This record gives sequence, structure tokens and C-alpha cells, in this order.
Amino acid sequence: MRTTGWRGGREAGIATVAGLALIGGLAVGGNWVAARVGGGVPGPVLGMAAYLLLLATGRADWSLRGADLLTGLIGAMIVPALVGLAAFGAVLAPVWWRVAVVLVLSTGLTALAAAGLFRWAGGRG
Amino acid sequence: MSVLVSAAVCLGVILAFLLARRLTGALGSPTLASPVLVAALGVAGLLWLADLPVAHFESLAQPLVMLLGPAIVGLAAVVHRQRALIAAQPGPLLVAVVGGTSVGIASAVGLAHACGLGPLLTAGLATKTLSTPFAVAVATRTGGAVPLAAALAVLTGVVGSVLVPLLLRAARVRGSAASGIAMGQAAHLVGTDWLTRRDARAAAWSSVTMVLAGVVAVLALPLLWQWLVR
Repeated sequence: MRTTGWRGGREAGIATVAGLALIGGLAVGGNWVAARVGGGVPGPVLGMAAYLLLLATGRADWSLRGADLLTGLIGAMIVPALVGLAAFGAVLAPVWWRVAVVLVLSTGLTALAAAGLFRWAGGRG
Repeated sequence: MSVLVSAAVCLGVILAFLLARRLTGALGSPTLASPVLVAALGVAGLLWLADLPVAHFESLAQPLVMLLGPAIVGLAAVVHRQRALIAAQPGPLLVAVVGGTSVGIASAVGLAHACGLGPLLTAGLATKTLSTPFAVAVATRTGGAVPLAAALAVLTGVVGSVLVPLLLRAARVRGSAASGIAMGQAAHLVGTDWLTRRDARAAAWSSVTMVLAGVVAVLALPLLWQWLVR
């Protein structure tokens, strides 16, 4: 049975909040494990692995709305750090063209290497 | 009171980003006008008008930045949705991701040394081949400059979105999988966003490559850090 109107919207809202709570809990849990076990793996990556396992069981699809909301706002989460770049103006100003050379050459090499290696390993499409 | 101000600042940044996304979308999503860059310029302009120090703004917006951790967890949804793509060609994808990430990091560090850039900029450039959440995770873990790592990752995405299609055409690389993998590896978030509006299949490859490359680098970079950034 399809839900419509405010009821459907309320259920979607609850699913989003529940998904955010699950993902937040996994991030906290990942940090907790990383801090105690160590080994160099960052907490969020441990949380990501746990979430991937949960999704693979097919029992956590209800949480995807929360994941979509979070990943859709990654750009907003980056904005404060980008604004903070102003603090590095004095460091970047005398060498900006050298940084630009590194960015352009390295980015080009990376793209060609990835595509070339994919083909070399027998990748199709 | 400061909690309320912080919440208002975080909400303001989110609104600025959503506005920038809508604005750039209405303009046909030009490559050079990444919504992140446009929002950052808008926020910086507002701070200048309000005479608010950037450091104070950064401390108020900290709760928003802390959401990058859960956002990385949420990226598992991208891998989950694209599991059919991964299962179809796991070997070639893995070779491309591990090799591409290695070339990205090695070329950035090698060129930075060759250009005489210091440890601060070399560290920032070492993570530029990762999408921003992963670059921030590495910078945080290694004690690097987080704003620099984030900014260079975003700038790399913008440069890659312009450069990669031209390079692939010149190298006669065709097909959604190869071009999507190249874009996800070299131009990560911005490149994937660019592809989303042009080739949905290539965008799927790009998104899964971006996440896997981030995981590979986050696992490998802290171990190699002392050796790479001297």
C-alpha cells in the first residue's frame, strides 16, 4: 500500500532521522574502535565498512535516505575549510604558479594512469 | 548563546551551498563554477562585509565540519548501490584504483619536491588526489593543514573536470567505464558531479572509484607519510 501526503512525508522524515542516527552511531563507534585498537585505520572508514556490511545484509535499506542527505551536503561541509584557506594566502602567493603546475600535471597523469591501467587489466566499457 | 550562533552559522553555510548549487545549475553547471567554490566565495564576501575574522567563523562552523566523519560512513551507500558494477569487473577496477591512487600521490609529491615546494604545501598536495572528506581525514590524522588539504582537493576537482575530458579525447580513451574511472580518480567529487549531468553510467563508475580511491589512500597514506613528506 502506498503512503501519500503528509503521512508519506512523515514516514520519510522518520526514516531520514533514523538513518542519520544509525550513520552517526557507526561514525562514533568507528572512532571508538580506532582509538582503542589503533592500526592506522581512521574511525569513519571503520564505520563505513560496518555500514557497508549492514547494507549487504539487506536489513538497512531504510537508512539510505539519511545517507543520501549526508552525502548530498558534503559540499557544504567543505565550505568552512575552503574559506579558511585565506589564512594560507601568505604561503601560497609567492609559489602559486608552481602549485598550479603540480596540480595540472599530476591530475593529468593520474587520469591517464587510471584509464590506462583499467584497459591494461582487461577492463571493458 | 554561542551554541545558537554556531547553529545559525552552520545553517547559513548549508543555505549558501544549496543556493550556489541551484544558481550554478540554472547556469548550466559550468565546470569552473563548482557550487563549493561559489558558496565559499559568497561566505568569504559576507565575512569581509561583516568584518568577522575567518578564524572565528571557522570555530563557529566546526560542528558542520565534524559531519564529514559521518558523511564518509554514508558514502558506503554509493558503493552499495554500485555493487553490480564492482562485481562485473572487480580486477580491472582494483588495478585502476590502486595504480591511479599511487600515481596520483607519487606524482604530486615528486613534482612538489621538484618545484621546491616546502613540507606544508607538499603535504597538502599529497592528499589532493582524494575526494575532500578523505583528504580532510588524512590531514587531520597526520597533523597537516586541513584547510589547505580541503582547498587543494576542491581545486584539483575543478582542474580535473576541465582537463580530463580533453586528455581522454586526445588519448582516444572511449567508453563510460574508462572515462568514469579516470574522472573519479583524478577529479573526484567535482568531476563526478560534472559527469552526473552528462553521462549517468560514467558518473556511477566515477562515484565508486572516488570512494574506493579514498579508502585505499586513507589506509596507505598515514603509513607512508613520514617518508613522503620530508
